[in-house]
Amino acid sequence: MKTLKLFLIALLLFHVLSSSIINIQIIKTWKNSTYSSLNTYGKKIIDNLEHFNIPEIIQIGMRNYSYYTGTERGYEYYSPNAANRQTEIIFKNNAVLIDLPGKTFESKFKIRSVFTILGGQLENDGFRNRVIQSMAVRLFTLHPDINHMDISIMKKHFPSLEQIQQGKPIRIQENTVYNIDKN
Amino acid sequence: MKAVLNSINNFFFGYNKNIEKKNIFIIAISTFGLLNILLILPDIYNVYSRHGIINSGINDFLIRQDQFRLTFITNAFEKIGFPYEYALAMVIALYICSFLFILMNYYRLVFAIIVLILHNALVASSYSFSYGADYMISFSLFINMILCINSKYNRVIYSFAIRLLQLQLCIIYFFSGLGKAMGNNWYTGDAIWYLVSTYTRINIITAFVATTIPVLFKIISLSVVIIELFYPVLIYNKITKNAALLYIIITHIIIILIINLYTFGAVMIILNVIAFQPKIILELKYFKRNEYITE
Repeated sequence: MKTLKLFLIALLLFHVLSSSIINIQIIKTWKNSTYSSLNTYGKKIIDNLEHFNIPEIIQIGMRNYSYYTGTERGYEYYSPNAANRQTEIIFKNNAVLIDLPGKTFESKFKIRSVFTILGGQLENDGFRNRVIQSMAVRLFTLHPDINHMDISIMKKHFPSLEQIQQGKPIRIQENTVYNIDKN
Repeated sequence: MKAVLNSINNFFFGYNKNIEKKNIFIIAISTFGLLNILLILPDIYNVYSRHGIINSGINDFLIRQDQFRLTFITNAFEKIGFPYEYALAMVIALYICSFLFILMNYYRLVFAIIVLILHNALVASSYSFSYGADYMISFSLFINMILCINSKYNRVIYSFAIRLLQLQLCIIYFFSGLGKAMGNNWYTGDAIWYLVSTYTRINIITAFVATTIPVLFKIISLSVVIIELFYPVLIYNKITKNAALLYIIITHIIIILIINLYTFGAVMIILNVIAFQPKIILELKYFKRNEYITE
């Protein structure tokens, strides 16, 4: 019994530590990405975390453990700021929209959330082209009757609440980037 | 020193409240996991296949090379002669059947481990589609696995599982709140407005609130930051526990209704109910009636 309890306490400590450290490591990465959009306290926290370093071997152990416990991605959802823009890839055939697949609300949500999850990465042309190619190939397979697609990037910019009071509308930009034939 | 050790021992291993409902907790987590995969089932080839909407080349670029994923299993099936599509279908079938075996209490622990491993492989293989709900389901399946351990030390293990879940929820909400508190638009209310705009089509109600009473967005987003950040304190304080739990559950219901994050909202409610066991829910007729049946 005593051995079991000691093992469980050790597991619990390791779990709490690894889960916390993973979140701290994710926050630390904001130094190189969203630092300018942090408030004064946020910047102070990041600056102080600069000295917080964990040996690589421990990090590997924690990452493997956290992978199997679902704690790997951290919990900084919509942080430090929720994005005020959204990028979507739109597929059309003869000006008719081709919907991304999704037969249930969950799979539809999952598939559409690719634009939120990949988010900033879609700003990178090379990566975005790979995503477009993969999506187009799948859509051609799902719609064998379609032989041609016009692909555009739609960017939505949401005004802040303050800007809404001044009458600024949601700005939507759509640029056709590719015309693809099946063959 | 002895008193400190005793209180640590009591905290982690002496929590036996609602232990008779352990099976209901296992059933709740497993049923939810099963429903989740059944809802994705019509699109498994779009979501999980290596030729899916996001192909495995892009997916593998986004995750760690050593991360266990579906192709590790399907490749093995292919080596013994099964076509890829059949191999993927077999993995999904095994995943679904494992949930059913857990629900039928047939080698529960074995299938709880299989479900946990397969779920993580599914999540890793669909990185671009995996959002908060998938990771929360992963964690709930980890807790499920611990709850499925059946031994003479049941009480100790049950207590450990519930305390681990409680502490993890504290970490989840604290870091979620900390991240938001470090930015700017959670203080102005813009964050909630952006999320509503991103996830839903702007309707007349949201447009009305944004233009005439934007302060409502500010109140909601500030309260989210405060409650998340102080969740660990509020939930362990006898006076504030019920109010904090009620607020969190209502928030997740609002997330379901307004932002349409059904799975995420539902799994968070399930985890909060199992962790902090509000009387008002666990004393519902359904739970009373079924606790004996499931034992």
